[in-house]
Amino acid sequence: MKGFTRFLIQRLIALVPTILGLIILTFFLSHVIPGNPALILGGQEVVENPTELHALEAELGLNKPLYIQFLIYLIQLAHFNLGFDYFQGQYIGHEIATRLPVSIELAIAAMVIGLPVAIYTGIFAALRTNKPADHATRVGTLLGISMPVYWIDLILIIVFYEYLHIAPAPFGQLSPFIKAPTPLTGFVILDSLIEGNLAALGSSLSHIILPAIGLSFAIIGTISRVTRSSLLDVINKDYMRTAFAIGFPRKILINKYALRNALLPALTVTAIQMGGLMGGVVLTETIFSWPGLGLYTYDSITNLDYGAIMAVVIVSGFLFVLVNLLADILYGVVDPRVKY
Amino acid sequence: MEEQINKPEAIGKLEHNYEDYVLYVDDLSIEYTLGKTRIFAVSHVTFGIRTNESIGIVGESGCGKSTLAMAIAHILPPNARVTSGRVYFKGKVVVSPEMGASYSIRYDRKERKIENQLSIVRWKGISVIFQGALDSLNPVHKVGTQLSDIFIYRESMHPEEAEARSRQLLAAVGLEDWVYDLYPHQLSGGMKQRVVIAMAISLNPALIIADEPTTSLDVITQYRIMEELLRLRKTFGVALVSISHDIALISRLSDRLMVMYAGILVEKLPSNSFDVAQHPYTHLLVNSIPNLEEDIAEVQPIRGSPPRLISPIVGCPFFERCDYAVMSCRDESAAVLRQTQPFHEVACSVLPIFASASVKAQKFRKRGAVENNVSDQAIVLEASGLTRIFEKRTGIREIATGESNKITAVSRVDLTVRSGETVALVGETGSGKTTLSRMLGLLDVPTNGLVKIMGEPINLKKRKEIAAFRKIVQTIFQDPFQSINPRFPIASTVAEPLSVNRRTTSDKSSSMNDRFQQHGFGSVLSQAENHEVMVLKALQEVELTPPEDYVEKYPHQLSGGQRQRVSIARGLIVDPKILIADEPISMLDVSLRAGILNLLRKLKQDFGISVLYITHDVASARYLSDRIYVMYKGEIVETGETEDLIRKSAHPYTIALLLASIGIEGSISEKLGERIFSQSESTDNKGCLFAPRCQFAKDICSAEKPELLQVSQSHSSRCHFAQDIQGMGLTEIKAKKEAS
Repeated sequence: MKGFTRFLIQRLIALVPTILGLIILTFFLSHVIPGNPALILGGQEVVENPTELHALEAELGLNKPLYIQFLIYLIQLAHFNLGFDYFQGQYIGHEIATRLPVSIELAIAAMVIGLPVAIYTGIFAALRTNKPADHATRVGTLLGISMPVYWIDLILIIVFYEYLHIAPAPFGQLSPFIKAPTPLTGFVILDSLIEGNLAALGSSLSHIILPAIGLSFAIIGTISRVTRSSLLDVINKDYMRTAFAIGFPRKILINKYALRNALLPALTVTAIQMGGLMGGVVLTETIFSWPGLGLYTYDSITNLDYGAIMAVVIVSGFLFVLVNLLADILYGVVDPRVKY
Repeated sequence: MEEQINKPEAIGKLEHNYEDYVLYVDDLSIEYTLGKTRIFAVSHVTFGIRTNESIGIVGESGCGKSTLAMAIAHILPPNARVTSGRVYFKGKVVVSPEMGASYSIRYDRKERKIENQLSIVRWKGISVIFQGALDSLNPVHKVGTQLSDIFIYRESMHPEEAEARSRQLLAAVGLEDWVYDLYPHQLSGGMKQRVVIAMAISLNPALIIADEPTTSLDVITQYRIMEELLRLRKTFGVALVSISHDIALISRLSDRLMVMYAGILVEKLPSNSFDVAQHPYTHLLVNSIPNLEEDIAEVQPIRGSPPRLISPIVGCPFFERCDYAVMSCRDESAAVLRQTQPFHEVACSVLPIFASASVKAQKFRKRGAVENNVSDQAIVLEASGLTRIFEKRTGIREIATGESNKITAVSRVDLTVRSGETVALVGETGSGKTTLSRMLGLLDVPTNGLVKIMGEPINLKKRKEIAAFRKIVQTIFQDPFQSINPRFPIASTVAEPLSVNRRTTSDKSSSMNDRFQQHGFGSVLSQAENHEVMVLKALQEVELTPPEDYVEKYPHQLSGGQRQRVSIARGLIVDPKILIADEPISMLDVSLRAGILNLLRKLKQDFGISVLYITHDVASARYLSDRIYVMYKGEIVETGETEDLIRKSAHPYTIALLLASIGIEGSISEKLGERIFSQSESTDNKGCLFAPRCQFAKDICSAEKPELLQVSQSHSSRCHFAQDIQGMGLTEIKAKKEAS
């Protein structure tokens, strides 16, 4: 355990330069792109009135040299102040705090749906290598990877909402007629459960299904392929021959002896995917009006809201690194050979 | 024969016949398909094993012995096909052309059906001892889980009961109870091998197949595992088929021996002794291995290399390599086993008729080699106080706390090699012998100490200085498959040292060469020609004749032995004074080893090259060398002239090594106690590094480090009690053997 704490501390320290690099990169990138936030914020009035424009720029701190702006930003960041969002009329920190759980909830839902399917199809294909079932699975997963997510989402909406009327309208997390649960954790499903608000629970579950399915397509494709190839690898190992010679039942052979070895690479890929999803998925959230980080990113970019863009990138970058750290820790749980 | 089997009444009859056999292999042939090539791995093998019998199958790598073993257990890879014959286990067919002998975890209805039939045979009838040092154990499950799973899923046993049984099993194979909760990677090779043995005996099978059970373990552990197997055989009364290329080991383990060559059984011996062997291959195989007990005759290499089995062999497969071959050996019936004496079958139509007396007569020629006195020759290579410390990666924390992460691979080694002398460095895996060889071969910089070549101290940090010495010292590496670039033709490989050391080699060849070089273009040509002549000469010297045939070949067209010769030629081409050979034969087939050993001997005799021969095998060290250094955990523990050191060993480790190599049952534990087998990892020991394993260890041993002191002229030992234990090893055992 001593080694483990050391490993954890080392990794957390290593996080600092990563995040710092991220901040520097996004700050300068977003400030270098042409466009004046003051113009967008002030609208028509300031375009015609240069004094007002300068005043607004000064208010936003845009008149200072870039490096000074950066230093101010860093100092503010050190105080956990991500800035103020003039368009939403809210502190960015607050905005992110309410939106982050929404995105994470969607990511988890996508994983819950996608992961079992991915692993099962991976095993299914691996045990039938070069047979029709294997080819079908591989083509299917390839389609999942290559079909654009917005297209899948639209098809899902057309089929399940438009034609079949099974799914609710693709607007947000809850039907407008249902009283939202008090936000305790920010996760709507969890909050409704805590509150015992069954109406909200049902509504939130039915709302999350379509976007989650849409998102899970890409996950299934990648993870299924990784599972297949690593399981094939493991099956040809000497220890599997030993287990087979002993005469274990098939179920034990695969589930207990092969799969655990095969899931290590899948774990890494899952972590990367999860990290990507948690920071918000712009397309899916925009299509389903999902009030998460993805939608916020989209809005901030159209508004050229430097503060918000930076905040989103930093938060999602941080989450990404964190999830990968979690995967590394899980590695040690799954594989006893891993030493910290 | 086959038609008979297919008739129902014939089956009934056969079952009756095979009843007294635990296992009967009848005319079994197996082939592999690799892309478009077919490999005829096993051809028409027939033999039977009775209850409580132990059979050993000897053969070189690629002779089909492992395929045979795995076929019996029905666990061949999916690309293997049974083309003829059957295997009966207690009268029940377990392998046949219809059932195959392969396994597959993939989903397949037909195979599942066969698998259901086999489930009572698997592990309960036939179990396998795999090579435990490789990954035969699942890395993500605890040893205990893997053992008790056998009981849970095969005997439907309650988990708690299964755990109790597993713990008993671990105790039965001599493992401590805590091993139950360890993962395979936490065990040493010997411990893993024992876990694998425990698994094999778990369901009380009638037959155990041991596939190279001790390969890749160090000598002392090998010996221990062998003793363990013998003991278990007695206790459990199982039949045992063991497979190995190690002739000494297998004859100790078995009641009867069979010799396999190129997919067929060439000889079935009536006992566990090779003395009565009649097949030329068996003879040559036995004679090609140096041994420790007898006076050394010249070991005889087998010329050529084993056939590649990509087409069916008609007649005797040994035809090309055999001295006794006659035309009738090409006949189809030439390689069929015939009984020559009761229980003795030989697949040779020539030699048994000749009577084997003539072959035997030449077996033990006395060592006729010139015993040249080298002690007054000049020292060519000298190491003094040579130390190499490896540092693990250190982070900020280590630097802050001053915690050391150092591993001492070689510790204060003094070593000398005289001109024209062959010196052997003997030690087991991890003893630091390769690290030492790299420093002596100027490939690694020592942490401390000095290397002197031709009396000149060498500063290994100055690259330019070293360059001049590179052509004096050349190294031959262990693995001929990886130490030669597969994309270069042989000529380029051999000539490479010339072009690399161009500046330094030019001064050797006469001033004429210099003159050529002043003339620009012409000199390039002449130099190339010169190189070609030198390459041919080098190839000639390593007996790759005619050399012209080899120049344009690529490594993959050569056998392992030929590759190792190329590697030696590459060393010889710069005309070195010292050749460092790091385990040059350990990767080669048994029949090719003797050739390399004899070549190294010849180099010394004919060219006066000093050889530093590094090995784990005492017998080959004895065969080759004038003096031996024994290394243990980075230190030289004993050194002396070869015969003196072997007959009058004065260090307990050397004695253990010798006893293990000879391997008479019970000899080590009787003499040196059980502690010799313990695996102590404490390197920060203040006293003698061997003390934790030494029976003779007294208080002084763990408190005070012994120095390398003389026990007699030119014989030193690093032991406090060197005088007391001297000569406990071989001489005494030999006397005991003669008395009995």
